[in-house]
Amino acid sequence: MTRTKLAADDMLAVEGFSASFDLKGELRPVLKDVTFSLPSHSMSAIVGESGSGKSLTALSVLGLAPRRLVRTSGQIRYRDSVLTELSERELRTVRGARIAMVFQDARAALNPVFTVGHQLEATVRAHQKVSRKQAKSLAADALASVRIPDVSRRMEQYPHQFSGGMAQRVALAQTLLCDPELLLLDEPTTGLDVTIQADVMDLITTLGAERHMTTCLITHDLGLVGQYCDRVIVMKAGEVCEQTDAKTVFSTPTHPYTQLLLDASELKQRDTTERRIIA
Amino acid sequence: MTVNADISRTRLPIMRVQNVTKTFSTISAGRRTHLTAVDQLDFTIAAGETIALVGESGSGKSTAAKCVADLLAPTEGTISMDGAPTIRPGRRARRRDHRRVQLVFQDPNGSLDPRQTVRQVLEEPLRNFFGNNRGELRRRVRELLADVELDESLLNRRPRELSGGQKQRLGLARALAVEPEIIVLDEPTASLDVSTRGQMLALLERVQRHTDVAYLLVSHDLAVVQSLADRVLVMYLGSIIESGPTDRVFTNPQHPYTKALIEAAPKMEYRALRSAWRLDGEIPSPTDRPSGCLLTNRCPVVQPDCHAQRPPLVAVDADHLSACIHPELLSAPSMDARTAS
Amino acid sequence: MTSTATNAVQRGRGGIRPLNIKPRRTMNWTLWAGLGLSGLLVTVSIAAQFWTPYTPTKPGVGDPLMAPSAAHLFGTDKVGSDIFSKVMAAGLTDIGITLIGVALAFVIGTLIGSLTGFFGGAVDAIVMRGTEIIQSFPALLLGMLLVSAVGGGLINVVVVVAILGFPGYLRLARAEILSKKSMEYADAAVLMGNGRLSVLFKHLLPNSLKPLVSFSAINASWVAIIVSSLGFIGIGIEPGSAEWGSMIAAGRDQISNWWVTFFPGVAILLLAMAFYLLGDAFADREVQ
Repeated sequence: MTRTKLAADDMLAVEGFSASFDLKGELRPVLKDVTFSLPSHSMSAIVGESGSGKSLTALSVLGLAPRRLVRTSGQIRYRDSVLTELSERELRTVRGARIAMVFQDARAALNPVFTVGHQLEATVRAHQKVSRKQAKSLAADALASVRIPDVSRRMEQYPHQFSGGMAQRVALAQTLLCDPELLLLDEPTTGLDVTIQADVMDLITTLGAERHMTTCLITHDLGLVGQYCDRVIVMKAGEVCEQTDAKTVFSTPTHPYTQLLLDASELKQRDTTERRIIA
Repeated sequence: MTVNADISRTRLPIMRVQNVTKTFSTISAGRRTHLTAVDQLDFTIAAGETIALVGESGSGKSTAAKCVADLLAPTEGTISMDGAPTIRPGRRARRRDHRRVQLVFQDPNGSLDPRQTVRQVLEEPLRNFFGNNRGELRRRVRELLADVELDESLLNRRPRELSGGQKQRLGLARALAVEPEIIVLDEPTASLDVSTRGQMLALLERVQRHTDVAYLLVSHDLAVVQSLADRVLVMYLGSIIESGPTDRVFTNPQHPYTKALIEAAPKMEYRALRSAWRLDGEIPSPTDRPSGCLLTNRCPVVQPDCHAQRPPLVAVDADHLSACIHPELLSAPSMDARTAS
Repeated sequence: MTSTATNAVQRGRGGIRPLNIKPRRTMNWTLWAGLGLSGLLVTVSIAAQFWTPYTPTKPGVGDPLMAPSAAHLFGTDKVGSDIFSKVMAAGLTDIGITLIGVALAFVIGTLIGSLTGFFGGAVDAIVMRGTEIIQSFPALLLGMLLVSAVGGGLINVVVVVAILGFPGYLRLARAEILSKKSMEYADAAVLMGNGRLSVLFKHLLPNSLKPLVSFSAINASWVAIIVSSLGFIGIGIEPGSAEWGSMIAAGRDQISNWWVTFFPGVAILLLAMAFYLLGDAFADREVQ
């Protein structure tokens, strides 16, 4: 097992983490010796295609991976504690409050039968002993902090009245209520339009800086990495291929798969002039 | 209106979409409201060319594509092929017209019958349109698989036993089976990983070169549009707001919306320079489209006269049209323009 | 690698909570129990056509109302017929009526339901109201009314059972088709040159059959009880014939001689249970 020293400025370190799916007693490895660290106060990205294990890795950090995922070796360390050794009860004090996660489909994460304001207030009151009035004003502050216009009207609305981009902001607001220091974002803008994606990503970057959060973007889009992230971890088929600076990944990628991803992301443009001559 | 690009002039258009409008009526809060998904769409497609409908969700591009493929009947307008109308309001096309226009669906999982094997998927259209000769069926199925570069060993597999890329190729092979003149490609790579996306696009190009089929590409992925399309139609809230040859629209957008769309797409480089050109807020509901220019409530350089009436598509140069009456403001940095207005 | 070889492995949510691996239960016991039980009942019923310990309907093969013994396993009834032979012979009647009735209801209900679901419109609305009317009557009461209207006899009972059962299939088929109709493969099938009916019968219906099949198994257990209830009331199958329901009816006044009613009752219970287990097993598979 590879064991890296948790540097003083690392928020999270995944060390030789291997896990398998338990398929009726047979183990199929899905994460193989995954090792990386997330430096404090930076925005990292875990990049990979479907089946690369990027989401499973993130879920494992929070202890939210599917039950049939079996850890076979390695550990996940967060500050002074080893997350993989914590009990479910201990983990609950970390989850949400210290490490939070935002998912791709924000609207599915909200309860359709309660107003958005109600749900945010409930989150406040679950974590802090405050009066209803205080909870309401904290919830409103949170919505304002994610730049949702017309907060008082929005508080009274139901999730279906929010667009995908607005729902993602609500999800962000909900995680911010507990003031986490590590925020994992699993494809937070996949499915959003590009103009909205840019707004949401800008917001995430700003909030990360304002609140001194360490953020980790789980994505398939290298374009987002170049635009917003400092560090990048490239995963393929359950393994980490490359871990480097976001800048380096574009200038001098070392792993062939990283190169392949870069090449595939950059499509050649149709030569319309040539075609016109043919025509 | 002279919307035709060079290509359409040198090659006769095979399909003409005229004034196609699609409205839906919905009942919300007890009141019947009309929603205009597509408003007076006008364009032509020539043999062998690729036209892209670009826009974000709510732009009406998918509705337009469904009208073209005869999956939705337009409320107004006609779609004609070789001069003869095939689709009119409230009427479905005849079965034989389905031979001429096919569709590759966005989601290969939902669009393949889970019970059919690859062979059955491909034999079905062949039987329905060309008859039941067994030897001929076998030969054509082999040919189609070869065309989309699928291995014959997959013939007896069902969709759930295929990878995403294989399913999408099968969708293309099925569309090609009836030898159509036009294939509507509805987000053909949205369900694919980056590494398979390029292969699919290369395949689409090769197929086009061999068969001279025309594509109507529907996509929000500008990289895909740039790599495949000869001409682009940019849609916003149901209307075309800019159209022209792909390279010119992308290098020199003439509408604030197109510009914002291009600027917002992440570039494949580290901290690419971005202008501050952004739209305000989000796309409004198609039930309340602004009365003037459709972009008035989001445009960074909106002027008082933009609200007066809906600007028509006018030629910026020969085949590049835009529906903006203040294209001169596009070159100005948006922040300055905003304070100036 | 097998589970026993990996006892060092820690398992739980993301491998965080260590747990011992237990072998996963993979056998679907409801399926096997259902198959076994129904197989046994069918085999015995068919065998009874060729051999029974005594002639089933012949009175006086023993003394009247003998308690179960080695000679008469299930005892004898008040005319001295052997109950064991009679229970065996009655199986074919009950199982046969149930299966044919269910098959009829399945075919009619599925056919009408998929057509009305697919085409919608006024016919659909009228048919739906019709099935609601049929289903609003208690099934047994409606069955009694129908049987007394059309008269008894094997075929009539089968038809009545089908009438009672088909609205369930109709509504289920209609709901399935409605949900499949908006699937993209329905659109694709139209573009592939299929007429509307062939879209329905070649693509939508085959993909809707699974829930209908599991429903029919559960429905069969209900039908088995209705069939024997009609027999018990004494309408339908002629009284005194080898049918479990009418055998119980014959023992109604013999409460102290429990075996007269007990064994046919157990037979009905086993048949209903066999179908129910099968239905349950199919429904489980569907979820997976």
